[in-house]
Amino acid sequence: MKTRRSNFDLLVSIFTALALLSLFIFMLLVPEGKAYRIVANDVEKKDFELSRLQMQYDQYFDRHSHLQDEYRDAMQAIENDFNIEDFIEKHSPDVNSLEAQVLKSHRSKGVYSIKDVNITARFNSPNNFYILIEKMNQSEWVMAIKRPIIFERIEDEIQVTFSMKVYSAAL
Amino acid sequence: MPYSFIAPRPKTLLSSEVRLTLIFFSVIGMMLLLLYGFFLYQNSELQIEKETLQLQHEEMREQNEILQDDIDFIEDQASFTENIVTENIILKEQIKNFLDLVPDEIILSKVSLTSKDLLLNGVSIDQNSFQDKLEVPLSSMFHKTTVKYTQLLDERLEFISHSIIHKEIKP
Repeated sequence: MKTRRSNFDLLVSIFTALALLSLFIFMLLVPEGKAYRIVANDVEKKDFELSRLQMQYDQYFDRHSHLQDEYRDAMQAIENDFNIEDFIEKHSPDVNSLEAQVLKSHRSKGVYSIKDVNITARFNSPNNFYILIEKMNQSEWVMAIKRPIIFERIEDEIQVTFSMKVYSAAL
Repeated sequence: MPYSFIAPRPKTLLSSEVRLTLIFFSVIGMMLLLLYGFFLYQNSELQIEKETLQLQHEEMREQNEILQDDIDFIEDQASFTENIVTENIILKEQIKNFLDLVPDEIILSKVSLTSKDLLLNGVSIDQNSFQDKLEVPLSSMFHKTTVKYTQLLDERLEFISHSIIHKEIKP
């Protein structure tokens, strides 16, 4: 009689414990475990994506630095505002005489401020003209020489007249 | 009344087997609770990490976009500036190539170069000199060249040459 009672208690204990554990496992532990796995996967993906973005940033940064170094002068030139006195002062030594006149200023599509400038220069040899063009290309402004270009012989000198557009970044 | 020398076993609420079973399931329950606690803690930590990564992700993406825009801007400006410099050099080379063609027998008094035509005023010692040494090269560079000659008192020949480039008709 005693043994049967004891066995009954044991079975009840085991089944009760198993039932409680099962409830705990399936109601709480498994959902939380699934959530953990999902969040861990998300974090791993985000981490991978962040590493990819970081690599992309490093590449962009290197390229940006490289471009800045390579085109520093060009970028500076487009930022500079054209000054006619400075222009004449800088380029007068290459020719016998140099005159410049700003005709008008306007904007191009809101990107650049453009000054139309007329140039009249006198020199002894066409070589002076070639040197003038080369120096203008290396100067601190972005100047596009426009046709017509008119060369005239005036006594022993050659007079050249042309127009140019001076570009600078619009403020 | 006979006495027994065997000490009576104390009566307990749970038998030793049941207690052992309960201890066994309690230990398992504790371990599962610990695992559940681990999931809860990790989920909360991972959630914070995920949010941090999300923020870093957005910041990095914004920085990449800013850098990319800046790179595009530098490339556009550099390309624009380089085009102008190249066009100036081409123009200079065109003028140099043309002026190098002019022989000593021909003295130019005026040269007007536009994008469509070339107007030359000058003096030549004779018509053949002009035709052989300048008109032929001009014919290869332009589509049509017309020349007007005027005899001067000193037997030299004044000429006005007009060379034009036809616009290409697109099909």
